[in-house]
Amino acid sequence: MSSSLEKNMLILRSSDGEEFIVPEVVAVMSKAIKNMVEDECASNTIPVPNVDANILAMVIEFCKKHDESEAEAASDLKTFDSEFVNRGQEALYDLITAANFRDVKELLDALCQNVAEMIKGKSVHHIRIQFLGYQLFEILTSNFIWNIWCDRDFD
Amino acid sequence: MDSDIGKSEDRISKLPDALLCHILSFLSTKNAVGTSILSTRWHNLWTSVPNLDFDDNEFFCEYARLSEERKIEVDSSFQYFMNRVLLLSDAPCFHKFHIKVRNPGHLDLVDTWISAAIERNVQELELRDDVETNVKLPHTIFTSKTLVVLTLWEAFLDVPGSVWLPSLKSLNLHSVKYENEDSLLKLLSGCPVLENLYMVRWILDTLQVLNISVPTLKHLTVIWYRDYFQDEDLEDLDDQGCKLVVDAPQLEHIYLSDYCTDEFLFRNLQSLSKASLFVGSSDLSFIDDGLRIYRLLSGIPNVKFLDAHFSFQTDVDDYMLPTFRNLTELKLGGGGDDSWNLKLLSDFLQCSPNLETLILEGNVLDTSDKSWNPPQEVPSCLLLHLKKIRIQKFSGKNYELRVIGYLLKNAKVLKKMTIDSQNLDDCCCGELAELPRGSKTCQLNLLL
Repeated sequence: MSSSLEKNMLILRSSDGEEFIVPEVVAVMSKAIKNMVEDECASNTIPVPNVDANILAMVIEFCKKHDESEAEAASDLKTFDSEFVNRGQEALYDLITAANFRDVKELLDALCQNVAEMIKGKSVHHIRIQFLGYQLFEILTSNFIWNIWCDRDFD
Repeated sequence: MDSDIGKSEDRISKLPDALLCHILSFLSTKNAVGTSILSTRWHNLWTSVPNLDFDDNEFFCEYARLSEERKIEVDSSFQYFMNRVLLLSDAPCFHKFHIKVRNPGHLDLVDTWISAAIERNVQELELRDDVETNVKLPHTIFTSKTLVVLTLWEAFLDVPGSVWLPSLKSLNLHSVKYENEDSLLKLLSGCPVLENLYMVRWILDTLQVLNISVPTLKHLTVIWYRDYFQDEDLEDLDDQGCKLVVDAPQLEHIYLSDYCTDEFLFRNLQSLSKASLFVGSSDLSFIDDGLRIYRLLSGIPNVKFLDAHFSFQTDVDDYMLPTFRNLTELKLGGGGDDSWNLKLLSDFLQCSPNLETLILEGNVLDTSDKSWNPPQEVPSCLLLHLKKIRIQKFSGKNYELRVIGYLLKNAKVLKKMTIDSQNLDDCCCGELAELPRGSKTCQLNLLL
């Protein structure tokens, strides 16, 4: 531990080189980081490859809230979660990948639950609009034959 | 989403299979299977999802209003769907298998479906049976090696001679009907690692003795209310009253909300640290209240946290309390429409030498006039340990004021007394603030 760093704090470095000072209790909500800390193979700076500063900041925000709010009412945390995961596709994709890669179970579940809600009880038409945004909506409304889309890969 | 206009691409579909399956596992099976027509990317994903969740009502919610012919059609389409999913699913083992049945049409298939889930090494099984004729469980359910959580709603429990559930940790029984007095006993004896037992007893449950003897049990919840509007059904009851026997040397937490049982017999509860008891006398009571309190409390002398809500006749005399050496937090409140049991409070203070936190919950509706007879000597917990007192639902009654006065005066190491008097119109703040305090460092917080 460097002398300037308080005890029980860790530095996380994002893929684009930005550093975040985070309490150890928060950082170890990531099982991957927990394992590194437990195996004592973590120096004072832990690199978090594949996760950029923007996404890492979001993950840390989520973990901090969940660490602090043990005493808080469960309903408050639920509200926070549902607001936190309410993001565009781009961010959802990056967050899910990061939560999976760093093994942050609570975050992964909250995100996947959110995507599941986007699917729940919706028609195929609506799910496609949700996943593809406007582009597909325009195509679908310009009289494309549905069945063609049913068997086509979006890739 | 608006910012994505024009440049959006389907990122979600690009996630790896395992993550998409994880997303699908949060959906009911009907919704998960529905994604197979989104695109070829999604076509077969649902077959790997290890969580299956079926609800026949999800298929047709206005079932009751259908014609008989249409009902048969809807039933068979649900059955066709179930059969297909069970055949096509290729998850190596099922994590969860939840099935909710409300239409009597497929009663005789339910056990086949459950058997199929057992065959696939299911870990968490939930059967919710809202049909009047109860579903019979397949016998294979009682010898599953993989089952960890079993939840049954309103099923009929006919337990075969041999039960062996070596992985079962949690058993939740909601209004289950038992074939006979021994059914539950047989089931429990085949659960060598059971830790959690949650039981809501059926309102017409006629089980005379509920015997819960499980050496590995850590958490126990028993909830039992009777519906006295259905009195005629209760006439068959034997005249002896019902008994609850708990023998669980590793039990840590018990939650009991039981207004029907007459006799509580607790054995070997030396590990019990937390007890929440909501107990009162039933109209069919056969034992007097003093003896019930004695039986109930003498079985749990090691608790650290006790939350006791008794709606017995107040000021019963003929009981004795054990000494609660470990008790540090006590919450006392009336159950139902009763208020502070002052005699019990006085006895608890004398029998809990290490009490640190006391929470008293009043009752605004109570209009009775009671008198507070303090213990003859000041109990040692007041002199040495009691640091926090919280009075909830304070309504300014005379006896409440006298109890508060006594506690403030005699609790020598009290740090904080909080009085929640939100139900009080005419606040007696001044009166409370002027009460003499035995502890110089005591803070008095009034929540108005």
